[in-house]
Amino acid sequence: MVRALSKGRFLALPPQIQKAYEGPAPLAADGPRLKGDGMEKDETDHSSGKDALDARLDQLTKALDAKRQGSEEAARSKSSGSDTGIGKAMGTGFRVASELAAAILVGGLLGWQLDLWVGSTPWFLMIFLILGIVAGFWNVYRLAAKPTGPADGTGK
Amino acid sequence: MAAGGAVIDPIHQFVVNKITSIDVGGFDLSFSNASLFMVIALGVITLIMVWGTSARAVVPGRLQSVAEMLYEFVEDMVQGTMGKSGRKFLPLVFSLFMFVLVCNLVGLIPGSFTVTSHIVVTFALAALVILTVLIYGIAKHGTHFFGLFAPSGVPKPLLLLLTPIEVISFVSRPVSLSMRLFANMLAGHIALKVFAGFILMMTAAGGFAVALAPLPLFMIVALTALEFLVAALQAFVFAVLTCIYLNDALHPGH
Repeated sequence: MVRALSKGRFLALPPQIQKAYEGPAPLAADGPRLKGDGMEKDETDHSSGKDALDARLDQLTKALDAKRQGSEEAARSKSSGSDTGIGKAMGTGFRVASELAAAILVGGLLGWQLDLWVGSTPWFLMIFLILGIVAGFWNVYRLAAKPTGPADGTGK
Repeated sequence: MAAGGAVIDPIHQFVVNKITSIDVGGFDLSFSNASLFMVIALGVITLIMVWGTSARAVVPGRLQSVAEMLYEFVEDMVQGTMGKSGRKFLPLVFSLFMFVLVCNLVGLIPGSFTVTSHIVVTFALAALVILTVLIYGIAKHGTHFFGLFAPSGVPKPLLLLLTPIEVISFVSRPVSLSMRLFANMLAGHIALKVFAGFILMMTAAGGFAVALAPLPLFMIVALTALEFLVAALQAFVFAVLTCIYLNDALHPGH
């Protein structure tokens, strides 16, 4: 259940990130936006509570999206996606390597310290090292099992 | 080593020197070069954000575009991972992202000091994230938070095996978070210095080697470009993982 939930949440991430890569660049180049207006309003509205702020943010987001619509195609053609592709791949690679190493390290350290504490020298180290290795591969599996999402041309 | 005694020392760049010695009640609170470069990083961040947004132009200038892009980038990331309720963590994630990013980039200036190449620094940042997850998760959800370690719908005997694995994988989070950033910065900077050392050695060796000496130089140029990518990427990965971990505190198992 936990797994399913976090999986669903993660699936939503890659396009979001991609959008973050592509989104702001064209806007900066092509002009009129509501941000300046929004900032001033934020300050004056400060006391009137979070709901009002959220509502205002929603409204501003909608207006921004409407403005964005036109420049979306231009953005898509401009950024060829090679940057984000390499970046994503490298990020995933680093994550896999470090998750695996860290889990094994933590398992080994836990077992070693437990042995020192209890005085049962090889046993806890062996058990926790194995658990650590399992946890490491489990983490990697979780990471790798996720991003095979549909409708994502760049990934995988 | 080979050329001119102990001149080539790729590790020397990581030495922490005290600039002014401060000692408070037995604690060493000296202002070191590490502290100096943290202050510089904070200064750069403050400059970008305060000066950049001071114009408040509807059509943003260069610096304002940078500030807005950074902010929107992190905001999209926070929203994408945690949803609307994650907005309260935006200041934390944004601060972490900016600090790591600027420290990484400032460290790439030749002769400067890379704060994030010390595991003390990166582990402190990772510990901050994990403590936030723990404290917020327990304060918000109580014992329900520990459902994170015991996925529901799993048969009892398997739970006996799964819970230690989940605990280990939770404990390994700050370790992997800090190790990744630290190792990347450390390795990249050592690689740059080693290749720089090759140039010196080959030039000193004379003869045929001198003709080949420009090769490591090209390598350094390429590596520097790669290091810029890594610097930004590691800041990004750090922030994304912070978001994913914080999401566990917001929505532990149901």
